[in-house]
Amino acid sequence: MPQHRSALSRPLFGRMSGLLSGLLFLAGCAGMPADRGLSSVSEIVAARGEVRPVWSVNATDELEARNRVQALLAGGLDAEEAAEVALLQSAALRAGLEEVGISHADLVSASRPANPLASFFARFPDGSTGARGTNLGLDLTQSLLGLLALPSRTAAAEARVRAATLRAADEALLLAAETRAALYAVQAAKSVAAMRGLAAQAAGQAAELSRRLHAAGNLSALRLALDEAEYEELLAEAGRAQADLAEAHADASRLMGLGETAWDVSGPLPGLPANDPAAEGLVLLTLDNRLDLASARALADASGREHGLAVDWRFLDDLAAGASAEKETDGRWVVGPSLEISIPLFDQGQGRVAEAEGRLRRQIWEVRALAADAAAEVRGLAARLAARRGVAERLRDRVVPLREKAVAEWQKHYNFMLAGYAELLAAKRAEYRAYEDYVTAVRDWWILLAQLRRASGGRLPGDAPRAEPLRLPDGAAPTKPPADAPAPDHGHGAHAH
Amino acid sequence: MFTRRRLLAALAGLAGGALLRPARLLAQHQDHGGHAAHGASPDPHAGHAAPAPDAPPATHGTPARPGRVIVPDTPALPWRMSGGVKEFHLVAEPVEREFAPGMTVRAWGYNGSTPGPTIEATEGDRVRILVSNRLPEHTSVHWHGIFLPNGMDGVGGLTQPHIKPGETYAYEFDLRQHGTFMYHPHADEMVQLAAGMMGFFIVHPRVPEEPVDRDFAIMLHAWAVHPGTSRPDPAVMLDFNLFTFNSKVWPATSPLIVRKGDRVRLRLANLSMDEHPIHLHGHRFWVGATDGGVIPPSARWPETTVLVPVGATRDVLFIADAPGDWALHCHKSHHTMNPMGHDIPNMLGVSQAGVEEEIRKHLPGYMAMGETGMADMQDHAAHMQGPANTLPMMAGRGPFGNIEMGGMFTVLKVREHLASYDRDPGWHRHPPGTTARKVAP
Repeated sequence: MPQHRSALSRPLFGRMSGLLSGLLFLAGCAGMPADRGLSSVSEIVAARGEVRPVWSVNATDELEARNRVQALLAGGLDAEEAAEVALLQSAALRAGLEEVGISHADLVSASRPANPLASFFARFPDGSTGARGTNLGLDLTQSLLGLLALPSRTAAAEARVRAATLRAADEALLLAAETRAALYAVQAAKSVAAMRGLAAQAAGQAAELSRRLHAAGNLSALRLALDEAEYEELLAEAGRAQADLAEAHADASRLMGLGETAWDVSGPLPGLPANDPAAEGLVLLTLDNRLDLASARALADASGREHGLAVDWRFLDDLAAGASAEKETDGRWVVGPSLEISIPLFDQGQGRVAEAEGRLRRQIWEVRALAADAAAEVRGLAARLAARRGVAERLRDRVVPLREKAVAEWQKHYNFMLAGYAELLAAKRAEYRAYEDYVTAVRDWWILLAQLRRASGGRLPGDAPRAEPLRLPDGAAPTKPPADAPAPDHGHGAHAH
Repeated sequence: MFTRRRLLAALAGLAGGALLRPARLLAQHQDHGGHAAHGASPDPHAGHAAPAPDAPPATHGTPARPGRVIVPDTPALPWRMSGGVKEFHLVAEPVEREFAPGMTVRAWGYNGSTPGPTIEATEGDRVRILVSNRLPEHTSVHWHGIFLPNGMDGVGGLTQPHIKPGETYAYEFDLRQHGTFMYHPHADEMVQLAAGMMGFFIVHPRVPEEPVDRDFAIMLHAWAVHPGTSRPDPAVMLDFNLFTFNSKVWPATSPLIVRKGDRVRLRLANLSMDEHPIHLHGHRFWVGATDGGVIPPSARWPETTVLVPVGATRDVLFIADAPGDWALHCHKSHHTMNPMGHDIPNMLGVSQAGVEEEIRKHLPGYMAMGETGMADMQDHAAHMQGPANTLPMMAGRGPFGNIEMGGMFTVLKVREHLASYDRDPGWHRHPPGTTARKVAP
């Protein structure tokens, strides 16, 4: 009998394990990618016009990335290079990127069925019955509901992986955009500080002449106090500009994840390119390209699949099949299948279905809200960009040349003793102020462009804008301290070095 | 009488285009007025536009007639006899005036000129002066100092209606006195005088009382033409920046050329808002008349400077007995200077060493000026650019260096041997031992 019993029992276990492996194969059981999903983020980021970031869990690759960052920092940064540094270096971004790995882990979990459940018992008969054998029982149960729902659950988890990947890429693009903006702010702050320095210097020269006039008995203490006060006020303004520069530098450092590392910009702000990106089709492009929108759509997809699961299995809380074997006290084995099924008497899954539907609907609304926001943002940015261009062009083509013209005319008045040094130097200060306004306007344009690029999904139509370096008065280029102004016969208003 | 042929001859003899227009107007007037008789004019002055061959040539193109007034840089107003009346035609209009090379002013004047052309007549004449208005606003003409019927006095609103743009008025009166008088608008004076509307009205005595060899007239005026502009600013009341002899500034003022021993009359008239002490070097003179009439010789005293009040004329008389180049100028030093800033810092005694180089980093054209005075300015101006249409504050070069003058300054050139009054004899040749010489170091 024992042989018979064992002969009965063996094929049953064999059949069950064969069925399990078959189901696992059908479910396409997922494994954890070696790079935790980082390369697919890299892929998307590179496709949006960024330098392909090398993110790795591998120490050698990390070293490579660190060397690249060091090389970039050594040469001084422009906006594009700063964005690359931020992508490689920002720990905050890397923390966000781990979400992709976590979503993959969730997928791994979701793509595997629940393990079969085995239960065993041994019962010892009371001697009064005369039975001496031990009553042994073995149950093996596999939840069927989990197995049947496995393909749908895997698909939902895959959608969540897509969503997490897209969101991580979006965060990377956002970081790149913010870093670009921060770098433009540093470049501009540096030029503004240089302009304020020059203005203070010019006022200082006027104040020095006033002191000499006072000493010679030609200028009252009142006039001298006014001239010196003007100088000191300009020094304070120059100091404020230095503080603004330090703040901008710290913001950029923070975004790039640079901590204490020293770095500088490689040159002044680029000038205004010839054209704004074409505004037509920008909204359609945004709806197609924007990654947070795509991520939300992927989440809606996941929610849709989860809703489908809830609907399909609404009447079943659980379904399990198994085999049960028991050795009676008389030593005989009884073997047979088992099935567990919940009876939808009280709960027909209404709550689960409604919740899943709620989640799906909420996600759909979120997609719509994001799309509407993105369209409005892009339209607004494009309009502001055009308006800022108008401001920057007016400052460049009218205000600055007119201030320069005014200086030239004051100089002629000075030449003929029709004006004094104070008016002439004040006119020069007004010219520096015009340049400062111009720099600020060009900065605003570049920052808006970076925002627009991010808002429209990372890649604007047409070529990357090309621009000459900004025209600044001599001695005002950010890479040179104001004291290094070239010799007078160079003339002012040449291109910055 | 005035004929067409005579007119053409007169036109041919005229210097400058300024006179063409009134002459043409006169011709048209003639056509409308009917026939003119042929023959020589009985009036000895009728031929003034075609100088007699024996007449001494005038200074700078002024038509010359014996005993007539030389108004440097200013035309004379032609006239014609019409029924026994000497008829003139003034046209009030915008004019362009070169104060000196490099500066032209958009002024208002008469017959293309400021000062307007000089009206000359003789005591006892009956004159008719037609005044046409080509200005953008109404005007009138007041005959300053002349005895006339009240209704001919030319005070707009008070004694006559204003002459509106496009209108022509006739003034007509007998000349019952002689002397140096003026004409000017008595309408919107702040604008019209600031813009240069003024002229001489000279009435000769029927019998010359104090004949002279050279009879000059200079109209004094002050202008506000801001640096870099060309139109006088009528809102300025004190801060004038250009001071003119006959609407010219030194170095463009004409010299007064005389022979040694000439009896000279210099008529000075002032329509500016400031008095001008006019000083002559090397001579003394007697103030012989004002616009109120002749000062009896017993009441005159010798002077070297005559203060010409606002709204007045002074005739001074002297004998040019000292050969040389003698300065004739307003003695207010800022009146012998072309534009200079009134609010510029006083750099006298202030070294800019060390700062100048620093400032050049901002202003490559910057140059320290004024530490030792302003005399360097004249040489600086030669190589530094000033505002458009603006003269440097000092100018003029003489045989010994920069003259450093401007505005109301000219030279009386007294020569023993003079080929022609009409030709500048150049600089005075000083006899040996008669010039200041350096004795140290």
